[in-house]
Amino acid sequence: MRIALGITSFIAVVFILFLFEGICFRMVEKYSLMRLESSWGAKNSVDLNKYLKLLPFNHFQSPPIDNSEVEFSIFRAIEEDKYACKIMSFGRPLRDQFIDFIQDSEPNRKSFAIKDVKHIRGLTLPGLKRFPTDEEVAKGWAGRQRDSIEFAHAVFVDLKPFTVSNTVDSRSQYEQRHEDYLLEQGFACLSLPTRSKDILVNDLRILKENFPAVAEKIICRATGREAEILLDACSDHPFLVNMLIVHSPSGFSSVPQVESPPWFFCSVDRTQMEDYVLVDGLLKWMNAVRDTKFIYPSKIGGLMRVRNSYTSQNIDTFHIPILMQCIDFYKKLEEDKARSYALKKSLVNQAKKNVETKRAKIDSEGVDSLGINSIQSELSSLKITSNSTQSFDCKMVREYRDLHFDDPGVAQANNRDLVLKIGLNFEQMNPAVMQEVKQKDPLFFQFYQSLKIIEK
Amino acid sequence: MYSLSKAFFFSLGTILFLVLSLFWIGLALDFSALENFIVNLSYSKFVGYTIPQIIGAGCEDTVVEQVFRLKIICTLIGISYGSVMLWISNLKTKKAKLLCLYYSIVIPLLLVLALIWFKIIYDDHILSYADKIELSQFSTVGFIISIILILLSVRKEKSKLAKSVAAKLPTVDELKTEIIDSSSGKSTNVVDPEIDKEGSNDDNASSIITDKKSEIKPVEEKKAAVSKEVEEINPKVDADSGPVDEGSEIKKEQKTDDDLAPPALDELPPELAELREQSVPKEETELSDKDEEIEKPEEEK
Repeated sequence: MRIALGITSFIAVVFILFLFEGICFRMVEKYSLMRLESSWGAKNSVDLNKYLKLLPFNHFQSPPIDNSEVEFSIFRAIEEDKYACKIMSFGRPLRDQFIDFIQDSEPNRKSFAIKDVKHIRGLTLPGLKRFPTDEEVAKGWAGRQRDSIEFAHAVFVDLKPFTVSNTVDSRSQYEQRHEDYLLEQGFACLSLPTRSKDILVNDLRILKENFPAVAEKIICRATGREAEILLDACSDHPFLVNMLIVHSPSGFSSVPQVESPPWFFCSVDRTQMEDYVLVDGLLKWMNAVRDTKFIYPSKIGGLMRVRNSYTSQNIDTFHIPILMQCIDFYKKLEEDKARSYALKKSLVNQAKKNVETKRAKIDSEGVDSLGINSIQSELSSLKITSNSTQSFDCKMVREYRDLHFDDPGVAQANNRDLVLKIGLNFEQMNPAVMQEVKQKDPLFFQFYQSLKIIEK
Repeated sequence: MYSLSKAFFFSLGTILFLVLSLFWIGLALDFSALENFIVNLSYSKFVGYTIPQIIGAGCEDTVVEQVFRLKIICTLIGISYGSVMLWISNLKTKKAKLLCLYYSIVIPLLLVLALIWFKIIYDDHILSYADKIELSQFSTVGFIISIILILLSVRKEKSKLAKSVAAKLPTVDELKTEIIDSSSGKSTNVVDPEIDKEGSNDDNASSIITDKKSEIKPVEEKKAAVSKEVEEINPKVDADSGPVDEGSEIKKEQKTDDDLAPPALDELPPELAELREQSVPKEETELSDKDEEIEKPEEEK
């Protein structure tokens, strides 16, 4: 009797703890984000937490298995919808806040600066200012380090049909409040009418040129025909935009053949599910984004929701937590890049100093063939390290480098040579192997084919 | 004997079943008011969900399906509570009735609370500020009701002994001291002499002894009364049969014990009369011994 009572009370305590943890995760934003970061690690992490992985958390939900049969895309889309709900469960407290902000009956609207650039009108800035970094000064974003520059976490570009009545007053309460929310979160906002892919690309470039610190990261949202234009533009210019939000696109374009395409969130109407070619095309975009070593984009970089009368309101808030995570991810990558830029700069300075001291020594002591050779080798190594990491970077090359990390020849070789070497080896093995490689890493295949033609 | 609680629970159960039957008859006869009520109920919202969604309806279910689900759930609740009330009415003790009533409220309430919370935790459902207020109010009220009912159900009944009696009971320390004293050999008598000694110090113990004495006193008084009656009867007998000794008194007592009186000496045949005369002195001596044995323990006591 006592044992039964003990077991029952233990189960009751576990149940209560489980329920309490769930309530905290559902209601408290800080706790949900803390649990997410504990499970997935830092924004640029590549490994999951191996201990928390044993717990039945939604964060460790594996994405639906890719099925090559196009006819099964509808089922896959439904699976993707369920997956998106579960994996983004950490964003619900933030979405609660957002919906309260939207539904506020007496909003206290702040005033923000609105700027026009050429024909682009109504870029609303959040009014954030900071001092530029060395790199930004080097790029010419600011004259000197003490000049403060206006910045934003990103620009949220809402693509609209090109009509005359596209004014600020004609927008709905939801759109106005949505913009206010993003501005308060430090995002610049722009409602951009668009007609074609080229116009869109041109407008985005103008933005980047004129407001480099504001439009460093761009998030685009579009619906219907504009969504198709957006996909088409990003297919050709994948690095122009950091995140795409497309609702019920009328069509799609091929996935960009790059290593890290922009984050992608799409929603399709229940009626659109019958168009399985469209659904399959959107699924390919998602797969392309998820195919990365970083945990965050591999989990939430590509998501799809199915829209119906009930989920419609929920989907209107769904992009907010994804957007925040996307910006945080790119910020983290930029931090690393800035750190590596500073490191590289200091290394180059150090090497230059060494060369100068050696040259001075040679001048003073006379010509020494050994000394000249060492200077030449140092200079060449500097050249190799700067070139090898810039071009022809693809998954296959990185894997090859990882496999032969202890080989100094591979470490010093540039990506171009490695692509040619690996591709030649594959071709010599078997033509079927090359086909498999093509499926696994199409970018590598493309690089190899083009290099082969050039070499010939 | 009529039981008020039995009548109450029985009639409540019966009413629930009657309401249920009327509900279905009303629906079958297309009472528009009832239909409207059900449809409105299916559209009404709680923490952002419609009522059929809370009880398991899918978001894409039609109104007809949702209304049907609502009818079925209402019927099940009616049947189960009707049955519970009838069952409670058949329970014998009041305590068991109340216990069953408490648990019939607590268990479904906690289940509904857990169901709603799990639904909110696992669903991709956005809660507005108003929904959160609604949810917190429902949870708080439900939780408080559950705790109160659980406390009522586990509450022990107080003993009906008077406080004065409970106060008179010796404490553990007192009993310990008594045992120590008895083991040290202060007195051969276990209770009374010690109590006499400690009487002045220990009020509780002395009060128990006085109670015991008060219990003994009525018995002695009864004995005295009986002996008085015997004495009152004896003079009458003496007057009839002349003076007699103690042995003759015992004989009379024995006579009274036996239903039939012994024959007179004159009526006995001569042989038996002789035997009787011989046997009388022996009986008298035996009886006198027995009297002494009987009286001794009384004196000791």
